[in-house]
Amino acid sequence: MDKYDEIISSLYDGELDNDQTEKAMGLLKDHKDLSKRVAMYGVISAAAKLEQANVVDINAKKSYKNKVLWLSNGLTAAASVLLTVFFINQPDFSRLGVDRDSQDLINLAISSPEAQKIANLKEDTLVNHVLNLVNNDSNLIDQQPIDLRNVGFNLTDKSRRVYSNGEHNFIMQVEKKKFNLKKIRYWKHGNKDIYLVPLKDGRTLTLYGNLDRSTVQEIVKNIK
Amino acid sequence: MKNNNTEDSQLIEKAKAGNMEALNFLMTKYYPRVYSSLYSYTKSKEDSEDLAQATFIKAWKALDSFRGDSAFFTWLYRIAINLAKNHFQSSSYKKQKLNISEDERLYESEDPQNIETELLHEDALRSINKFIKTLPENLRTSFVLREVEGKSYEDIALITGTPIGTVRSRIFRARETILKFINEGMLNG
Repeated sequence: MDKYDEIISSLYDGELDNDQTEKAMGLLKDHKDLSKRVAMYGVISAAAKLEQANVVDINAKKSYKNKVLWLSNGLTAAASVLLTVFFINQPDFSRLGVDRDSQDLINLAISSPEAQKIANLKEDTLVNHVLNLVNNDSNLIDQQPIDLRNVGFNLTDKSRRVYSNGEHNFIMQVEKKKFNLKKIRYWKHGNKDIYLVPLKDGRTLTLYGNLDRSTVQEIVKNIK
Repeated sequence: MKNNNTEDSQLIEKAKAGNMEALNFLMTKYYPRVYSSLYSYTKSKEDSEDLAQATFIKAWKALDSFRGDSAFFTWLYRIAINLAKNHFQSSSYKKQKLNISEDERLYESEDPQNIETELLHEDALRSINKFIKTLPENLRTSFVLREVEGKSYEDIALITGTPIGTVRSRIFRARETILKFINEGMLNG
């Protein structure tokens, strides 16, 4: 059976000539279990390409601390930056859905040195902030934590500004650095979401954790 | 060097000519990636299943318009994302499932609640992805060049300095090793 399986693997990759393809199709017709294998190969492809679909490719802390090294990773780094650019330009909550349609553009853009430069210059600060955040290296402003009890969240770790309501856990902090944001921006990192919210006084609020949009909206309304 | 856009060209031509086996193969091959993309977008298993199904029905009907200017998955992906956007723009999307006619239901997948679908959720995909990184170097290199970089066997042979037959065998063995991990480590573990 292994021989058949290897043929199906080659068919899956489009690496058979016309006659071989015909024969392989015949095998699939006669051996229904081979279709199952094709489906599993599809799952494996989805898993292998998982990182391409990630919004920000966050590697070990050392990787981004040395920016030259990080950027020298070429496509991976450029893709990370460009994905970030696309994703953070969501104008408001109603459009916070991940704009996967731009993936094709990104795939084209990642091979362009100009695109890398522009993306790097424009979004450098924000990208670094997000990288810092997910590596627990962000700077908190020296102030009292915000009280969120009226929206159902308790402060469970004062030093790190961790809030929880049992279901959702997140870090919320006001940043020292000025980002001059005009609108809310949004990233994903693994199963967590990162929101940067401009406040009326010009400061920026960061929320990072397993948060859904409606919860963020409620929290932001409470703060503003 | 082989153009990656031609990867599925034989099967697409056969499907265009009405060969249902070829069509089924393409749908089976791409369902996981389409579903996974939709799930990233919708975060809903039910919506992703409905939209993936609608994507393949639409693709099936529009197959003649596919000219091969882009990879087949890119074409499917555009259909999927446009459907997803329309779906979410619809005011009643939360209440209504996609309205698919009886005729179109003929093309429903046989068993939507199967193991493959269950494996398509992010945690499972991450576990598989993590396992891929532990493959022996020679298998991993060929496999990643094929699956992630989209290189043809010929290109991989040139890059790795090995015969095409070895590349073919390594990619197959990598898949077998991953399948073994899924069957023994994930499904039974």
